[in-house]
Amino acid sequence: RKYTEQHEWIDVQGKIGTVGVTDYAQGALGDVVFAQLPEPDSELNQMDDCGALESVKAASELYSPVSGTVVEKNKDVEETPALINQSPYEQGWLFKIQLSKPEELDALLDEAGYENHLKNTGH
Amino acid sequence: MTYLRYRQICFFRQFRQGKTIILRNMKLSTIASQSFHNDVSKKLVFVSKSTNIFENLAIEDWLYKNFDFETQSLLFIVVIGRHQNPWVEVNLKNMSENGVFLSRRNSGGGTVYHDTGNLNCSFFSSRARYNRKSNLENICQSMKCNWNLDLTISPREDILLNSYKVSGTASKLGHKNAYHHCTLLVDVDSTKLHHMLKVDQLGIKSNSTPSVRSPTLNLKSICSQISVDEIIQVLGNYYIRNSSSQFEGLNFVEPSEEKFPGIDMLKLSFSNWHWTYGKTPSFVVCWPLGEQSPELSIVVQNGQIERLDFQNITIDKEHSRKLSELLLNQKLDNNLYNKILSSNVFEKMNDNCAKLKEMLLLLCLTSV
Repeated sequence: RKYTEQHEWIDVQGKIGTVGVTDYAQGALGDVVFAQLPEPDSELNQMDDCGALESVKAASELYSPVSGTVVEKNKDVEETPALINQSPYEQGWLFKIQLSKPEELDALLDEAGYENHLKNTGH
Repeated sequence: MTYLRYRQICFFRQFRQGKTIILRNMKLSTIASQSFHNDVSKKLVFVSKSTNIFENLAIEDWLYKNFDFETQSLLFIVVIGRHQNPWVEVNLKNMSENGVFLSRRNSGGGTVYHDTGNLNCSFFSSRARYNRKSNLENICQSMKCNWNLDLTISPREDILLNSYKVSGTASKLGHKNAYHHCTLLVDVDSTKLHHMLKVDQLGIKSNSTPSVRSPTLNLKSICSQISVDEIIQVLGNYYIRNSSSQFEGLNFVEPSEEKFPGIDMLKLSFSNWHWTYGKTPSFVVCWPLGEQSPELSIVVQNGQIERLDFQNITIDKEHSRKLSELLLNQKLDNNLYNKILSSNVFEKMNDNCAKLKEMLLLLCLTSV
C-alpha cells in the first residue's frame, strides 16, 4: 500500500489500484454524511480533484493519487458513507482506477514515510 | 425573474513573500512584489459590491482557486449545499411563483435563504490555518463588543441568540486552500424564508445531505440599530485589529472579469441547470405518494429520469408505454414541464392520473 500527503492510500494489484482515505483522514473528517465519488470511465490525472467527502457541513476534496481511468466506484460507500469511518482500509474503499502511469507510484509515500509525514505535520 | 440578492464580505490575510497580489482598488490582475516589514501579516477585507448570487459564488470560487493562501488568507438566495437535493429542500412551486432562482454552492451543509438582509461572510485561508471555530468566535466577540449581543456557538457551529439560529456555517476544504463561510440573519424577510424553504412532501428517497431545520431570528428584531452595512464595518475592523502593517481598510470590489480574470466562466458554471439540478445525487420518487407498494417508481440520476419501474396494475400496458416515451431520459426542466402539460397520455389512464400529472409537473419546476 502507498500513501499521499493528502491522506489517501492506494493498493495496486496488477494494473488496478484501489483508492481510499487513511484512518487519520477519516478521524479528522468526522462522521462522513455524503461521498461524491468519480464515475467509472472518467479519466483522471494525478492530483486531479475527483470527488468530495462531506462531513459536519464541510465538503473536503478528494484527489486522485495516480493518473488513469476509473473502473469502479464503491456503491456501498455511496449508500452508507459511514463505512469510510468504520473501515477506511477495507469496506470503506472509494474507487478503483486502472493506472496509465504506474511509475507515479514510485514517488508516493510508503507506510513509514506516511507515518513520518503525520509526525512532521504535527498529527 | 429576479435573483435573490445578498451582501458578501471576504476576510483574508497577506503574509510577506516575494510575490504578492496587490489587493487594493482594483489591480487584482497585476502581480507585483511588495516590501513589508518583517514578520508582518497583512489582513485584508473584501466587500463585494455585487448582490448577485452567481457573481458572489463566482468570486468566492475564483479566490479559492486562484489565491496562494500560503502567502495570504482571506476573510468574503436560496443556496443549497453541494450534495443536496433541491426537490427535497426547496419549495420549487413557491420559488417559481415568486420568480426566485435557486443556486448550489461548493461547500457542504444545508439550504439557506438569502436576501439583502443577510450578510454572507467568507473566511479564506490555507488548509493548515483553517479554523472555523475561531472565525465564529471572532464574529461573536465583535458583535458583543459593539451591540452587547450575547451570541453563542452551538455544537453544530450555528451562531445562536436566545436559542434561535442567526447564522449557519459551511466549509470547503482542499489540499492547499480552504474556506469557511457563514450567513448572518440581520433583517431577512422571514415570511419569504419559510415560504421558499417550506417543502411539499414528494416522498423522495435519497441519500443527499439533508438540512437540519432550526427556528431562526433576525438580529434586528433584538437590536433595532443594527444594519448589514454597520456589521460589515465592525467585522472588517475587528478582523484587521492588531495588524501591524499599514491599514488597507475595507476594499469594495466589483466581481468583474477585468479584476478577476476567469470569473465570467465561473459565474456561468454556477448559473446553469447542469450544476444546480444536474449535480443532485440520485433519487427515487414513488407514486402514489406515501403508499407502501407504489405503482410507479421514478429513478432520477443527474437530474434526468433514468428509469421508470411500474408495479401493480392500475396503469395499463399501453399507458405505461406512452408514459415511458414521454418521460424516459428527459431532464427535469421547463421543456419537460411543457411536454407533460400538453400531453394526452394522462387522459383515461386511471382515476389518479390527474394527481400523477400534478406531481410530475411539480418535479419540473426548475428555475434556471
